[in-house]
Amino acid sequence: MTIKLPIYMDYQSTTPIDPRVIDKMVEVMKNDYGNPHSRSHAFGWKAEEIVENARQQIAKLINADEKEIFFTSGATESNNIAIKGVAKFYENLGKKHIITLTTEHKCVINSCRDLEQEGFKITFLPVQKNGLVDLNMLESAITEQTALVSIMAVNNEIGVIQPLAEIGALCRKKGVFFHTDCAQSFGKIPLDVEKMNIDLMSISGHKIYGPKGIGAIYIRRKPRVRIKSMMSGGGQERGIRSGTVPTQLVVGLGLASEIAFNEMAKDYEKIKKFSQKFYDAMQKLTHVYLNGDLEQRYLGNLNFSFAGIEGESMIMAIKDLAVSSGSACTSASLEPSYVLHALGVDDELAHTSIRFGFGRFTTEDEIDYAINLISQKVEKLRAMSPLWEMMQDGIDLKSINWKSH
Amino acid sequence: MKPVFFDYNSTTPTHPEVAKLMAEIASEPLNSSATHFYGRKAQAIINKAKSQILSALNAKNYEIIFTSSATEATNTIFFGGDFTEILFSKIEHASVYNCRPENRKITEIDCDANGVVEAKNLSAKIPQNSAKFLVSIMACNNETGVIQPIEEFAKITHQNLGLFHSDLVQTLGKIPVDLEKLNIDFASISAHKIHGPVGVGALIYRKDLDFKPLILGGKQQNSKRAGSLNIAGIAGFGLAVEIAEKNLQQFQKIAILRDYLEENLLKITGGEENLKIFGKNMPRLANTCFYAVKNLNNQTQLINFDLNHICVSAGASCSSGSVSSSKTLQAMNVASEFLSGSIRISLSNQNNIEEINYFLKIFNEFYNKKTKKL
Repeated sequence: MTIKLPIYMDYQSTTPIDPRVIDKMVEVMKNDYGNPHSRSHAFGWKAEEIVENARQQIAKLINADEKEIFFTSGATESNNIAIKGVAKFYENLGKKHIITLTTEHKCVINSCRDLEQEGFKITFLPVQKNGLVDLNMLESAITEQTALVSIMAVNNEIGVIQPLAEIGALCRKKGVFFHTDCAQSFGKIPLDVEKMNIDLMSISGHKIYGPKGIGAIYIRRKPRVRIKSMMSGGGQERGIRSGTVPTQLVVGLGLASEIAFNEMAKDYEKIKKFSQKFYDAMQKLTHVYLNGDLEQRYLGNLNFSFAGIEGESMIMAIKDLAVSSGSACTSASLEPSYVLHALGVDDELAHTSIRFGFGRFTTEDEIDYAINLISQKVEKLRAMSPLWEMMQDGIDLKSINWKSH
Repeated sequence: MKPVFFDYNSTTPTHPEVAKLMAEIASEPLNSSATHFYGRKAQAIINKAKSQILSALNAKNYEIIFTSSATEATNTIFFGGDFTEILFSKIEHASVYNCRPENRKITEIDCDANGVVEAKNLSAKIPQNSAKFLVSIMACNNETGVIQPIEEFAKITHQNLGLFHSDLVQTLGKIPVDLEKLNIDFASISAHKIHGPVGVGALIYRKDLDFKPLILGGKQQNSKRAGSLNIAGIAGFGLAVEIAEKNLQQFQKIAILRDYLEENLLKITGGEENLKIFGKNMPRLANTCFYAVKNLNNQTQLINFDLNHICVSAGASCSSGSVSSSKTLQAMNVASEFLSGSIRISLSNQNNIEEINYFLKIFNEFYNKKTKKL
């Protein structure tokens, strides 16, 4: 069997659309092009019906009511709405404190930083070495002024799964809202807003084989979470988010959610098998370290650091694999990952980290090809590397006083 | 029967070529921030769409950020620009009219009885202190289709050291637009009004201008708009603009259908005493007819049209859920007996004379029935 190169292993950055989703979207584009807010004719009503059906498909996947789902342009916008929207609504009630993690996605961190400049108090909690939140530390960070705790479900860079149910229970007990960025977990692992006491959830379309440019936010009705909207205009989405709702994107997200609902177990079974095989092969190379907890992990994401190799040369050597050395939104900059820093990974290893993503369309042949390629290149690059030689000689690289030049 | 769609100012079906291109692109995992092969491919697609749009608008000295809608584009500049006062007209679309950041003074500009924003009213209301201000006036009204003299508005604004924004949603692809000549500072545009996809818009701004992002996060789009880019949608937008620009001449011919329609509406009703066509004698979009029948409520008209498979609207669709009369008509001081009878017909090249005749037949029957009763 021939393999199409480059092999796509960057499923955390984006995913190809499922062909079933494209077909449905094209069909809607052709036939049901009405504006869902047109209340005066059949095209509008049909579009509205399609939009409402998608809302149900999404709600079902997280055990929510469809009235609690609002469409946005993506998880970035949803995260902005959740954090800035809750903060600005509840500040008048004296709640001017937000807790989040240092390993959150940039859009959560930057929304918080923006609020900080406006006088809000933000606690950026550090994580443990395995990338997980320390629940005791979280509990003691919550104060009378805390409005919101924002902790992501699956980390985009290292794939660890935060203990959502425990965080949710704690937040409910303390009477603060719990927001979770589920861009990397919605449709991939089981999520239940009731069991996990989630009050707000950010959802992305293009991470689950749906279209780009569409996302959603879940906002709990009971007990009700209020937000101050970020965009004004026609007042669509019950005033939460103005702008014409894009029917064909919404239908794509809806169907992608339904497929995820039906095929999550099947997808995960395959991903788990590939992930295990890949992990075992990397361990054989020695001095390859998995970043983040091994157990509490979404297995479609394995982030490894390769000791004794320079990061950029590694990426170049394996350019048959479309992989990323961090999250896509920060990979344009070549700074080492702030997420790995938060885990206490030192600079050398942070520089050589590579994220491997597996998804619905990954094949076993691709995994075998990747393992083979990486094994060869690692051996070759290490043979050329003075660092590797020193490591073999037992020299602690940190003890060397590098001269800057 | 296939419904007759006369509501193209609300949204448009995606052009088949655009849909085809989007389906092709969507099947690949394209994130423009990624450093690998697919990331570069995504970046190339975005660059192409940018140049398609900027060249169609003759906007050499402008930059563009893609947004999820024109609503978002307008919100971005209203919230993110460094202004203490924002002035806009009373006939703006809801995305402008309802966008009122709390810490900015908002001033509304009047229009005349024809639905043209008054330059003298703008001049009168320009802040006299040294306030940093933004003026926002749409180039073409979504309900009446009346074309506004925005070049003049931009000039007045600049003479007073303000900045000028225009909502070009109904203008793009319908009349020629030359941003360099108009000399406007910011513009909001939308793809789904010109046979592009829903869910894509853009803010165009002069290169030397700066503003804070509305949506924070990654460093996409020069840190002016975070979020993974909707690659397929953006490519679709670029192509839709290119096609629309090519067909600009063709678009003007829709006026033949529209004028025929209006002429017959007046005939049926006995003239302007009973049926008003708003902005009829003004420079207008070729495809738009906004009329009102004296004392004939638009809800009953809409129900009748719908029963006969004709899709029209009472005005802007984002507010058409409510029964209240058009804000634009109120601003024009339209007499009360015409205020609640307004219907907007907006056509495209896909409409034909048979559909117009069918509409007139249905209108005629209904009008006669209702007026006999009266």
